[in-house]
Amino acid sequence: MSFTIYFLDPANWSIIGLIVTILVFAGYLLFFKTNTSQKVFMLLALSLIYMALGSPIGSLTSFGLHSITMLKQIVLLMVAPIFLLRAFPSRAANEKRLGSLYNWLPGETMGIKNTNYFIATWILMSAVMWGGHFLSAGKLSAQLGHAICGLSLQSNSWVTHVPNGLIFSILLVVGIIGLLPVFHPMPEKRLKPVQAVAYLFTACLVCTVLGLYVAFSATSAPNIEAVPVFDTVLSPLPMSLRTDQELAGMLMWVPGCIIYVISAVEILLSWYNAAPATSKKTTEHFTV
Amino acid sequence: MSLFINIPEDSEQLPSLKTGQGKLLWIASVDHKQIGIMYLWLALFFFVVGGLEAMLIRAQLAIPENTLISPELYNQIFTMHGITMIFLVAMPALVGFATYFLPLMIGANEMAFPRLNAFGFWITLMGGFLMYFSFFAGGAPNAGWFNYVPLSENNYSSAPGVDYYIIGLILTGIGSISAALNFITTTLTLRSPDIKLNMVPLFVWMVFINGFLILAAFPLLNAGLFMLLIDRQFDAHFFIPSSGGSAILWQHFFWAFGHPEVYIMALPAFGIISEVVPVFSRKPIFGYKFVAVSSIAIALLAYSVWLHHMFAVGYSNTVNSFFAISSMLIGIPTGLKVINWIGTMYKGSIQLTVPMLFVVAFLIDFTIGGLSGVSFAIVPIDWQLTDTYYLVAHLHYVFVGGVIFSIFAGLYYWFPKMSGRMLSAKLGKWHFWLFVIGFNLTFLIQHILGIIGMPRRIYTYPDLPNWELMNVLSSIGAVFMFAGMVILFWNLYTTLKKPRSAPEDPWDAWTLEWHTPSPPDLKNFGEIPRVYSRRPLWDLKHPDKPDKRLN
Repeated sequence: MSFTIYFLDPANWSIIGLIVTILVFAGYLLFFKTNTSQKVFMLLALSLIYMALGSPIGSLTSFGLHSITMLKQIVLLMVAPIFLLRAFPSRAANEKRLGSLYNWLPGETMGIKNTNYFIATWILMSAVMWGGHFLSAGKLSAQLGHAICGLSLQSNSWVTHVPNGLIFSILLVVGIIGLLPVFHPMPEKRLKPVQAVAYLFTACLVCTVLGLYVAFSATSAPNIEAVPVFDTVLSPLPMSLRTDQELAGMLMWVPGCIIYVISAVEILLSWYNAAPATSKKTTEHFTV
Repeated sequence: MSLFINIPEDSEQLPSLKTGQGKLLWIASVDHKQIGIMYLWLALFFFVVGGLEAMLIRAQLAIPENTLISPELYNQIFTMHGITMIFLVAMPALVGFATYFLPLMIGANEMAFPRLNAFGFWITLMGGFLMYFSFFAGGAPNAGWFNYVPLSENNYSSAPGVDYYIIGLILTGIGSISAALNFITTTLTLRSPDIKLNMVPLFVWMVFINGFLILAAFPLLNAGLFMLLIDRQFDAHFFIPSSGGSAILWQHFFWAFGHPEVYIMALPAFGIISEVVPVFSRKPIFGYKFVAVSSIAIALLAYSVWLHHMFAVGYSNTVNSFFAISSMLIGIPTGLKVINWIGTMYKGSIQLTVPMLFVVAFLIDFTIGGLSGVSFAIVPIDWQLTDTYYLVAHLHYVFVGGVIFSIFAGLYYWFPKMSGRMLSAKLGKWHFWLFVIGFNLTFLIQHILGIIGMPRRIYTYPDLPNWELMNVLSSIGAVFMFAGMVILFWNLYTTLKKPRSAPEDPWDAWTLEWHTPSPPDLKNFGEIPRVYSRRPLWDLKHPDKPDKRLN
């Protein structure tokens, strides 16, 4: 089956998922007063989530493609949360509707000034980035019967009982929590620009190390060449396990980092554009 | 957490040549200006050494089948030439400028850690001399500046040269790390309370970002060097494939350091250009924020491109493709800077002083180096041209056209401030024209030599069509460069013999270092003017039309 035929086959598109996506977007439009860019961000976020979970691309994981699992992880943990957070207006614009909602956001309830909060969100996001990857790789390994990314699990392993929906939900929720310090809908609740860049940079290091590990461990895995390419011949995207694993690592690394780099650049440009605060100093000179 | 941490000044009088008599004070001094000058002298000294090595290389290659020097000595010379120019010339010169001018540009009187500053200099000097001592201890390093294993393992390099390379680079690496710590801490803690972080001069910003690059990159190199030392001295096998090690692992260590190292040298050089261009175009920098922000993008992306140095290793198309993409991406912020500098010059009242001439040469030659660099991001081209003279040409266009030209621009620009004397513009122009013409004659033609198949690091070559002609032209160009350098040294010598006569601000510049005497006193500032914008001296000189207030 060619990828085009597979992609255009209606059976591979989730109609329920599409309806849910449209309903959520309609609800968003009705419930919040938003500007055009926020609407676009919400549309992008929902479209990406749908593409990851309800489209034929998302279904490619049933053919055992590790790289597609990684792609889902990138979308749910790293990209969609940014768009979602940017889609929500600040409370000032929607005081009545958002007041109670934002109270549930960790930054509000735990105290945004608390450095431990940033460390906790960073650790949580990093742990889920790595944990989510190995959980998904383990599930794939149990499903296919051979090692994925160094993990070789039995078909009756406990990981097979972890619902995919739960993994995806955790990725999305943790993605939102992890990126709140940088993209909180209320600007005053965000980290200062340079601190936000440092936060993103260190997060970038985490996805870099994960991506490198996944990509380069493919070369050293002794059994990876033993699994011939016809193992995935039914897949609309046939590729060797080695290529699949390298692609998975590279996807996490390069696009993953670029997401953070672009975000960091945008934050810094806003920082340079920011209007100066009124100076309280009045003396003409001071001695050092 | 504030980004400005006000640290009270040390009340203790720190040792300096300006506080006492005696030659030991050259060693004891922790005055950042003194140390900055010593870094620059160190760089100049090794520039002579590395330059003489280059002349030997070009003499050997001027004609085919030449036997002027032996293959063994040739290997040592090209290895030491590379190491010297990168670790003992470009790095110390840029660190020297930063050590001297970073505190002055942010209104500070000293570096945050003055003794660490001195330690960094002396350990760098120690590392350099140790590497050169190897010539007298059984032979210098001879495995190339990146010292690939297994060639550099005991089986193939049993002479101690590689051990001197390892220990020397570990020492210079520690020196660089200590300098980086100082730059970051000084910028964060000692700048004038008026100066917000988004107001600092671009040179300071680049050095600040560069500090993080150094802190992340040099430990990678030093880790790899320690592992190699353990391999060689204690019979371990980190990098010996026959014993279960990985030769490729060394390449990963080296290039994960090595590519950021290109930007470690380029960012301060960009900072110098960003200071010189506005002053001699009589315009504020065009797109300050883009120049500043693109540095962050470069710093982040610098760590995602190293495998393009290893395309020939044989990684899969998947891996190569992603590294090719990221290598091309890093060209975007770099290209953006070039556009900003040209934008600054556009419709400016350009003064073609010697520093500005070097900037113009930089813009042309660094762009050529950048474009040939992009060609190396294309995997099939890399496979074809790697380890040829095309690569030699590319890296020299980046390192000389990009970094050394900037250092020359900085030297002519800041020399009056450092010495209280103006370098001769006439001799400076002779230096400029001889060096730039010589540089392009030497290296432009090497692109073609590489394309027609001349490998790098061969000590001689057969008499193939056009090879001799191009190599002779290349060697003639090197003579031009040598003559240019002789003129620079003559200029320095004659200028330093003259009495101090340079005014405080000979270029009518705008940053704080020009608000001090030339040269500055031991305590840089008795009184710092209030700073409201990125051009504090412009505001002082033109109170009727000051820049937009930023604090």
